[in-house]
Amino acid sequence: MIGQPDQTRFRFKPDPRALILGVGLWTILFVLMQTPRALALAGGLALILAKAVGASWRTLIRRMAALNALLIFLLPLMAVESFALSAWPWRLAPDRLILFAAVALRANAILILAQGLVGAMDMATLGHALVHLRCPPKLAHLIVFSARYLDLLRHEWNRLYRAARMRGFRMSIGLRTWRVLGALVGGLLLRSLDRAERVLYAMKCRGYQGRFFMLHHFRYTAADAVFVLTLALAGGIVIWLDRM
Amino acid sequence: MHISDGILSTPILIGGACVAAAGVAQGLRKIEDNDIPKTALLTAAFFVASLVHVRIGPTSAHLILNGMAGILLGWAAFPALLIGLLFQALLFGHGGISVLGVNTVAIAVPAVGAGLMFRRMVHRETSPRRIALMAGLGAGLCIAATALFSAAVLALSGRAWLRTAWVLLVAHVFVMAGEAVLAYFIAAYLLRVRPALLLGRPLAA
Repeated sequence: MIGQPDQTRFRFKPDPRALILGVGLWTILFVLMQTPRALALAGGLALILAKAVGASWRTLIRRMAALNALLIFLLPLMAVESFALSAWPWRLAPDRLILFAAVALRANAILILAQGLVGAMDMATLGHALVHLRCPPKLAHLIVFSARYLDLLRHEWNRLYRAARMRGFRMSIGLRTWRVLGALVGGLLLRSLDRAERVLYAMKCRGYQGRFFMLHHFRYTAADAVFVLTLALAGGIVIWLDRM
Repeated sequence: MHISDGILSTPILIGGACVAAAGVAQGLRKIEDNDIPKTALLTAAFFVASLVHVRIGPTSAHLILNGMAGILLGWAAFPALLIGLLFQALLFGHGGISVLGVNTVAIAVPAVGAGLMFRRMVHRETSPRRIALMAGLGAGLCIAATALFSAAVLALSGRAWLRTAWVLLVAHVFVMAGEAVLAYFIAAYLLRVRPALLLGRPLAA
């Protein structure tokens, strides 16, 4: 299912708020770092952290594969000195190569961090944690609500699409494809709006007055404090290394 | 359309985050409590639709539909598209966390613009064909603005990215055509099935 947690066993389970804070803090650090050396070290730390919280290798590698395919496509575009015919054989500029290394390491490090720490969280927990972190409640509600219906609407789409295929629809380049796609997407939008109306009525019947009550409260333990502190300390060391 | 993590320069990231925060705040203010299910479901629907890959010329691209989101949601498209990008980043690793602000601005500002423009233009229009054409035009312009903005922030992040910015612009010419045609057909379908959804009023006066 989309938006559901990986089926991995959690060894150390920090407070979701601590995880979100950690990701936010370290993402800012990654953006500020410039040298490939410091970024590589920080990326390694992020990987250890992600594994410690229970991210699975398979998901991490799959996500990283997509990112790195894009990066490989970007490498010649940004790093080749000149694509002029007279400049053949085309050479990579050394300074651009260093910049590219920094970009690639940074992108991978942020991906590992976000995927490993927050990606394994289910959306309900994420929304809860966001509310407790003083995120605007409406935004958190929207996140939880749309995450809840993501999978349902995907099935709705599959149903519509399968019905079209049964009637001989094939994706091609012609105008007819677009016409059918327009009707399919339109149908999806219409169905989701009808569903929203039913959901609203059902919620009103159950006393909805514009806010959700948070039944689940997180407990911030000493282990979490140590976790955040370690993150901050490690971040400080890496930044110092970057500036050296 | 999403730029990856790690590419853009820090000032651009900060600027993008600030503009996105302001836009989302305005969007949230426009959402009434009773609109939350509707906005959330449309957010999910647009996200699901954006997973669809279509063939455009020799390659395939996924739908963006930000123009249509702007037309149906108005200002609420801002938080809706932010959430879409957040899901993309968390569930698939596309785009990224640090570029969330910039990417949101890139797709949501044109979307809201297209929505406001569309509402103004179809104010007293009764010809379904012309209304659908306007939706198509709005969606096409929307992608053009998104691509221009993304290319501009890439180019501003350093000379090294100039070439990439050009490639991005050229690639989006095809996306723009596809999205415009699709928006035309979506609007035509909605006008036939339930015009009030698109116009906020019945089709014929």
